[in-house]
Amino acid sequence: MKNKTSIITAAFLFIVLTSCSQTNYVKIRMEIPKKPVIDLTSYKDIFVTNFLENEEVKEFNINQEILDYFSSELKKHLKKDVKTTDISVKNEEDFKNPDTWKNINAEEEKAAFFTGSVKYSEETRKSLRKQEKRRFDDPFPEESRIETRSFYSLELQIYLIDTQTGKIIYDRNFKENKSYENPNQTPQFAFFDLILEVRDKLLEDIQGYDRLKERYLLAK
Amino acid sequence: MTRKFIYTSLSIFLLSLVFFSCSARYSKDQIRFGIEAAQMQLWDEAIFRWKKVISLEPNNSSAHNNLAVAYEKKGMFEDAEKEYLKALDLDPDNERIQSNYEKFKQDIEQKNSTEKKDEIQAKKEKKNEK
Repeated sequence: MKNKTSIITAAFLFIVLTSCSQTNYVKIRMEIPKKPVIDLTSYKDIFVTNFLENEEVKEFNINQEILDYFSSELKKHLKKDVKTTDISVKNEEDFKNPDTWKNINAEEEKAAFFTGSVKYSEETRKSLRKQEKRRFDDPFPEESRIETRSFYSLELQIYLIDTQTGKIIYDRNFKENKSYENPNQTPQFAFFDLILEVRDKLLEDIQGYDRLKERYLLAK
Repeated sequence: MTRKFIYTSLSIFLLSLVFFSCSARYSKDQIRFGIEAAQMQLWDEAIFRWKKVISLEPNNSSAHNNLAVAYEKKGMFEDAEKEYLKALDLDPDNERIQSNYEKFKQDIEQKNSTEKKDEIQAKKEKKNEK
């Protein structure tokens, strides 16, 4: 009898303890903000200047394309006064030299230069590709053929420079590649594909973005 | 005399038991209410509820964990870390809190690596100036 009572008590205690120790939880998906790499709120104007061309590109003026593209995109997304200005540098070291940039802008308001260097290259690559035939009775079900692809690479070094101090406040190197099955793809077409990738990454750095994350909320 | 003492202490014990069970019940309700608010993206309301729980029960690990998640959502990462550490301190074996904190740390480290890069760059520039 005593044994039976102790078993019942132990079972009761076990049930109570396990029910108490169980943690109820809710899995929640939420967007967690990522802070921008650089805070441009105090900068009133942005001056987009010429980009240093590390390699000259045939057929189109890449510098002008970059100037036009970024001046309109920055204006649209940052809602700041974005102007283009004709400043050219001779080599990469000039970007890091504050004296190059210090006294160019006479305005008192805080502003930033948007500048950098560009390298755009085109390559034609040949590759051997296997293709399956549809006919089952074919003694050679696979055939190989040489495919020609055009390969484009855009390397863009972007600097944001404080107009008052001449110091670099942001710099990042973007390297984007893309290959096209069409061997006659124009460099202009590929350029706009590649610069779109750069723009998205750059705006993430300047504006910040939300990342979707999962966390547990406890309901105990 | 002894009987009177026993009755008094027993009644005090029972009253305190009722009080604590009521406050525990209240805290649980507040935590659940906060979760419902968070699911509806009402994070300020959720923070208010979980803070209320902590004021009543400072050692409630769930409330600290939930508050940390809410602070993360708000971008208040320093406060979030404090709350995660408090929750882990109170309930170190809780796998859910551990998981939340590990994920939080990973995200923070990613952020810090870019900031460190900038710091190194700034230091290099200072050296060059000298």
